Amino acid sequence: MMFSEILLKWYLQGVMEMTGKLIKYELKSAIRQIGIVWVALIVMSVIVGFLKPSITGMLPNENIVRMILDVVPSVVFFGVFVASIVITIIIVVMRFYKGLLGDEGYLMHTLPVTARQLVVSKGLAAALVSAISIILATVSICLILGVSNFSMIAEFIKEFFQLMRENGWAVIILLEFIVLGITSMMCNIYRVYTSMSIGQLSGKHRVLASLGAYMGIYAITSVIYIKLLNAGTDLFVSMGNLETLEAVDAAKIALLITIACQVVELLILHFTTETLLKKKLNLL
Amino acid sequence: MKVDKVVECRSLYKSYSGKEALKGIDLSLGRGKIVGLLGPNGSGKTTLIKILNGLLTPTAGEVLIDGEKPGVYTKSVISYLPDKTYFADWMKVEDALDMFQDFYKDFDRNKANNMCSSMNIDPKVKIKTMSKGTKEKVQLILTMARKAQLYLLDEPIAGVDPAARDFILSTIINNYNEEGTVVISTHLISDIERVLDEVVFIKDGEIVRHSTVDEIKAEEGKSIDDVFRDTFKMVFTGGNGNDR
Repeated sequence: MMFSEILLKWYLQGVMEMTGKLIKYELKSAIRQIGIVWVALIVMSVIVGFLKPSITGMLPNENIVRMILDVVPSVVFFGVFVASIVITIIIVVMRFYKGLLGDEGYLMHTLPVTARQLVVSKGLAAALVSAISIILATVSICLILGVSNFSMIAEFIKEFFQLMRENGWAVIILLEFIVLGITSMMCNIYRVYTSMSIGQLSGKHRVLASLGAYMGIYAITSVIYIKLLNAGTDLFVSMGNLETLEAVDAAKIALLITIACQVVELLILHFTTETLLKKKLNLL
Repeated sequence: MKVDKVVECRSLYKSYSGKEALKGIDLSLGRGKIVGLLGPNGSGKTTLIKILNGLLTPTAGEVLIDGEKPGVYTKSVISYLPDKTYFADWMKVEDALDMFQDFYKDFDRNKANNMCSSMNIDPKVKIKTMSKGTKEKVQLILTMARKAQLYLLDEPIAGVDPAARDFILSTIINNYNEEGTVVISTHLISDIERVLDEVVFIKDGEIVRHSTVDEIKAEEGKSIDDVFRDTFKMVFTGGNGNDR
């Protein structure tokens, strides 16, 4: 059994049974808040990318209606796009803050579940909501570009798959990028969770303390990642590998190491959060 | 049911930021009792209840609920009514009922539905839009529709008028699991005196008296309210009123 599998099993122990139910309620709650924004995002991108060009195309150049139609939907789309990002972040923060550290905590922490299940369910639901927001934002941009530049996107996708078929390494690097995307997202979510779990210890100044804790965690992780990056580069140089190592292999290894570091960070953040909620919960 | 005593606390201490909220609590509670946890504001009632239900970890000492340390099992047999409203903004009454049905095996949905209709609470209504009193009723329904081993009711009658107090008390008496024990914390003694089997007086984080209501009446020939006033008359010299 690989080390990572042992870690994963350890992490998942005692988590599965009720976690599904917790995630269900978490998603219900989040989708009620953000669902309308997701729908608006897609509707606006269809209007801007599809309906607008076909309507304005029928109007003369200097027409006032055409000028309004050119500007307004794009501005609205931009607004909805920004809102979807902002609301996603608010949901990630507030579902944890209100749900586990506010009055809702009186219900959540007395359910027959462990602190680990509570944290994991919040984390997974937050990751899922964030992922959907990111995917929909990408789709909406593709919809806007797609109508005027459909051939460009089709060409890109074709070339992309061509590359994948011809080069095994490209598939591996793509997979590594996807995993890295997921671990980065989870790390960002968990940094917020850990900061709030530290912040709640201070009682009255919990928001300020949480912000302070977040900056602290951010500074510490940045320093560690920079040091690791330098150490890694030095190691390659000292081994005289830079000339002999193919750029592709170097990229593969570098990505893998980054993923491993983020997994370690994630585990540290998770156990800090879990322990604080279990031993030092401070509901007002 | 595992052991005789549903609650067993041994030399329980809890301190928050240097201040001792509980100073060596020893308490054991049997089954099928209605127990009043009585003391002025800031005496440690809420702290003790939060330790029993696992929201707080004691600084020292041991707690056993139905023979087990606080954890998933004890949470599954404790039905807790906090003095806070704990619903998420989006929830309708039926969402809260669904949630309890999902998480607590001892939750009786039919009983909850019947309690809702007898209190004229529409399950389709969003809880956020309800009055404070109605929200409290919904929480009372959720708490009492469980067949729990231990009910922990933190100040269930503090914020309501005397008519509503009687209603809440009769809801509790008529619905609790008779093999389970009900702990009601309050400083309003005269209102609940008639329903209690036992009383625990708590003062400055220490238990100063634990006896049955019959014993007190036989020994002192006074009401619990009078005995309470005698016990605590020296306490009301200020205090910060910070009830934790």
